[in-house]
Amino acid sequence: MITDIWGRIRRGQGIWPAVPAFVFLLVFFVVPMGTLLSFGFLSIERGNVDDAQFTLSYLTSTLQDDLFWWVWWKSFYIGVLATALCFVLAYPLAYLYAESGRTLRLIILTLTISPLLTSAIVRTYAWLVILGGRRGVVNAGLLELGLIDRPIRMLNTDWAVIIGMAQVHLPFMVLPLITALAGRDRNIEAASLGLGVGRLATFFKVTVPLSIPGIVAGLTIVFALSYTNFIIPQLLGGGGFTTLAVQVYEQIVVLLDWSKGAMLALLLLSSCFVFVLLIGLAGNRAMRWSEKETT
Amino acid sequence: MIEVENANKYFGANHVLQNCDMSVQTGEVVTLLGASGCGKTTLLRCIAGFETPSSGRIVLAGNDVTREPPNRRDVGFVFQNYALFPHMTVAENVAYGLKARRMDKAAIDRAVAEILDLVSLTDFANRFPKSLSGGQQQRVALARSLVMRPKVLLMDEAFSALDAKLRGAMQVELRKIVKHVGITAVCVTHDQAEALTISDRIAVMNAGRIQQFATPEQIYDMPVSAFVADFIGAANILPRATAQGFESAKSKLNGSAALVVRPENLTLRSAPTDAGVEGSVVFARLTGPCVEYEVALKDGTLVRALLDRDRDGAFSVGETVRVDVRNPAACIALSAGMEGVA
Amino acid sequence: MAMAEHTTPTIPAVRQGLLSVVLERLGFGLIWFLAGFALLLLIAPSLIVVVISFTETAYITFPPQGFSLEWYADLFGRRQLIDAALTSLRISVWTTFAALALAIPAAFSLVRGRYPGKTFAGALIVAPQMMPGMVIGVALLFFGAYFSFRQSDLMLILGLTVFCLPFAVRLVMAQLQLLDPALEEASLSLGASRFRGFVQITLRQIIPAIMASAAFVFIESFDNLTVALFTSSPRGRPLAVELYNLVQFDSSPMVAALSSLEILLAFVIMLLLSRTIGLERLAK
Repeated sequence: MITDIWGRIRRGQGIWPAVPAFVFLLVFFVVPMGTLLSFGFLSIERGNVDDAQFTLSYLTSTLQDDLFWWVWWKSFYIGVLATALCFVLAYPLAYLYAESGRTLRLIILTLTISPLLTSAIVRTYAWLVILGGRRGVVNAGLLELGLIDRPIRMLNTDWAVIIGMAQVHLPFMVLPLITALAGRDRNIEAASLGLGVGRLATFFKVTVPLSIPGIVAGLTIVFALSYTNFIIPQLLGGGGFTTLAVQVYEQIVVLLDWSKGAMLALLLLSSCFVFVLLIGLAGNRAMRWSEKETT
Repeated sequence: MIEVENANKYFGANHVLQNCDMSVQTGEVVTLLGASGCGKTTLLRCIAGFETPSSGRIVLAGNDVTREPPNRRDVGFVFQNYALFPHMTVAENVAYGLKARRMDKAAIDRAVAEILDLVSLTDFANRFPKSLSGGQQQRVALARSLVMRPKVLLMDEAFSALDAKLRGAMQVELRKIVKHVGITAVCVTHDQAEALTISDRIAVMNAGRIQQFATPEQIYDMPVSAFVADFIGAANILPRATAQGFESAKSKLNGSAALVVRPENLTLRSAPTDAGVEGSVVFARLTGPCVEYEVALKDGTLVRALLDRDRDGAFSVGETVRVDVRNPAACIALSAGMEGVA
Repeated sequence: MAMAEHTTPTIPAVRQGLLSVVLERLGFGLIWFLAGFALLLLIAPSLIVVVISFTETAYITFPPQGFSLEWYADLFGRRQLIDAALTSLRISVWTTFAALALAIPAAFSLVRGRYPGKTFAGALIVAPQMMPGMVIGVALLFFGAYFSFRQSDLMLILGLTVFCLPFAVRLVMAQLQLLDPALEEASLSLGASRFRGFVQITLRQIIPAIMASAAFVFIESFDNLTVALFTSSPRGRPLAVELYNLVQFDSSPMVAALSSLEILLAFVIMLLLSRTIGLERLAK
C-alpha cells in the first residue's frame, strides 16, 4: 500500500503532489487578488466589509484627478531612467563576465548574487549614507578635495531615487544578460571580424543584437521592480516625493482608505503589465530589424 | 527461460507491439534487431517490467511475471546511457543492489571484488563514474547487473554510446563475459553487425512485429521477407519480371513474387557473351579487397554486385556488362512482394 | 593564385584608419570602465555601511572616526530589536518549512507528471513571482478583512510563503530536470524498492537544490519588507519593519551596525549557497 503510494508520487503520474501548492495558492493568492480587485469597486470604510456597495466612483474619480496623472508620469519617468541607467552599467559588466576567465567570472558572480541576499533596506540605507547631508560620503569627499565649498543637496532629489533604484536592481539586470552573453556563439563574431569589420562595429552590429532576448528580460524585470518599488522613493526621495507605488502604501497604511488604495494598486499593476508587454514587443521588433540588417 | 506470449502494447492509439511471441532458452543470447521505433525497446522494457503489456503474458523461469514490478523479477538491465548513480563510486554502484537485499557487509565486499575482477575494473573501485571512459562505464553497468546474479540480463542499445572502434572490441568482450557467466541475455540494437557478433539468435522486428526469429546464419541465408533480407546484409531484391531474365535462376523462382540475390552472388562479364542480363555500370566503389558495382539492368532495375578484385577483374563506369547469378542455389525466393523495404 | 582569377569583383582590402583605431580604443575603454564601475557599485555601498558602523562618533560620518564596537553593544541592549529579530527568525523558519513542504512535491509533479493542463499548473505556481510583494501583502490584508483575519504572524507567514514559493519550486525543478529518469529504473532493476530508489537516488541528488531553496527562502523572508509592511502584526514587528522605521527616523550609527549584521548574514548564506549548488547554477 505504502510502496504503491510512493510509486505514484515518484512517477508523478497524478497531478496530486502539486495539489497542496495549488490549493494554497488558490486560497492565499488567487482569491486575495480577486479581493483586491473587488475592493477597488466597493465602497468600504476602514476595513468594514459588511455594508459594501458596488461603485465605479474610485475608478472615475482617480482617472479624472490631475494629481493622479502627475504622480503616474513621475513614476513612469523615474522607472524608465532607473532602468536605463541600470542597463548602461549592467551590459558592460555582463560583457566583461562573458569575456573573462574563471577567476574573474567567479568574482563577478559573487558580487552580483550577494546583493540579492542582502536586505533591500540595508542597500538603500547605504545610499542614505553615501548621498546624505554634509557628512555623506560623496559630499565629504568633494569637500575634502576642495572641489566644492558647500555640500550639494543630493538626497531628496529625483536623481537620488534613480541612482538608488539602478544600483539596488543591478543584479536583476546583470544575471539575464550574463546568461545571454556567456552562452552566445562566438563563431558569429569571429566571422564578422574575419570579414574585416572592426571590433567596435562587431560589438554593436553582432554582439548586442544577438543578446536581445537577455536585454528584454533584464529591462522587463528591472522596470517592473523600479516602477512598483515604494521603499527607495520614500527613503531617498524625502517627504514630498511620491510615486504611484508610494501612494498605494500611504492610502492603505497611513490614510486607511483601502478602496482608493486598491484602485491605485490595480492601476499600478495593469499599467506595469502594459509597459512590460510594450518592452517585449519592442524587443521582437528590434530582433526582426537586426535580422533584416544582417541578411 | 523467457516466454513472451502474444504480447500487445498500445501507447494511446499507437499499436507498438503486435502479437509478439518469443521463447528464449536458458543460456542463450538473443538480440532484438530493428530500426528505431519498431518496438524492440518496448518489448525489452516489457520483459524488464518497466512497461506492462496491454495484453499477453511474460513468463520468466516458469513464473508469470506480467504484473510483477521490476524489482521482483530478478532481471538485470543495462541502460543505453548506463544510468550509473553519479553520486556513488564504482564499488558503491555495484554494491547498491546487494545492500538493498540486506546482504551482510563482508559478503557484499567479496561479491563486489569478484565481479570487478571479472570486468577488469578492480583498480577503479573508488572512482566516480564521471571520471571513467565510456567503455569502463559500460563495464561498471554490466558488473552492477551481473553481481545480482539475475536470471536474465537485458541490454538496451548498450554499445551505441561508444565510438566505432571500441564498440567492436566491447561486443566481443561482452559475448565472452556473458558466455563465461552462462546467463540468458536479451539485447536490443539497430546495428546488424552488433547483432551478428553477440547473438545466438536474432529476432528481426518491424512495425511492432517479430518478422523472423532465428540464428544469424538462417536469417542471412533464408530471410522470410524482403524486409529481413534487406535489413541483414545487403540484398538485391529482384521483382519476378526482372528475375525471369536470369536463365540460371529461373527454376529457383518457381512462381514466387521476388528473388533475393546477395551482391556477392552476382558476377559481371564483359559484353560478348549471351549468359545473364545486359546492363551498364553506373558506379564503382572500392571496399578493401572487393569492389562494389552498381549496375543498371536493361529494364532499369539497379543491382549491386560485390566482386573480388583479383579474381573477377575490373570494370569501368559506363561499360556495358552481362550480369549473371553465380550460384542459383543461394538465391532466395520470396512469396510476398516488396513491402517493408525502404 | 588560381582562385584569384575566378573572383571577379575585387574586395577592398581591410582598412584600419587612425580614426577607427582611436574610436575603437575609446569605445572599448568606455565599456571596460563602465563594467569596473558597475562592479564597484555592487560592493562599495555595503562596504561603506560596514566601515562606518565602527565609528566612535554619535552620528554617521565618513571616513569613520576611531574604532569602537559601542554601536553593536547599543544594538544588543535594545530589547525591541532583539524581540524583532527573534520574531523574524521564527517567521523565516516557518516560511521556509511551509514553502519547501509545498514546493518539493509540486516540483516533482511538474517535472515528472503526465497530465493535461500541466503547463497551466506550472504557470499558476510560479505566477506570484510576477507580482510585487506589496500587491501580495495588500491582497492578503484585504482578503483577511472578509473573515476578520487580521495582521498577524500567521498572515505574514502565509504572504511570505506565496511570495517565496516560485523560487523554491523553480530551483528544485531545475535540479530534477537534470536527473536521468533511468536512474530510478536502474535502482528498481537491481531489486531495490521504489521507496528506496526514491530516497537513495532521487532525493539524495536533489538535496543541494533543496538546501539552496531553503537558504533562499529563509533569507528572503528574513529580509522581506514589502509583504511584511502590510501583513505583520502591529504588536510584534519583524526586524525588517523595525529597521525600516529606524532608517527613516534614526541617524545613529547603530543602524549601520544592524545593517552590517544583516550583511554578515547574507555573506553566510552566500557561502552556503556556493557550497551546495554552486553560483553558476544559481545565476540561471
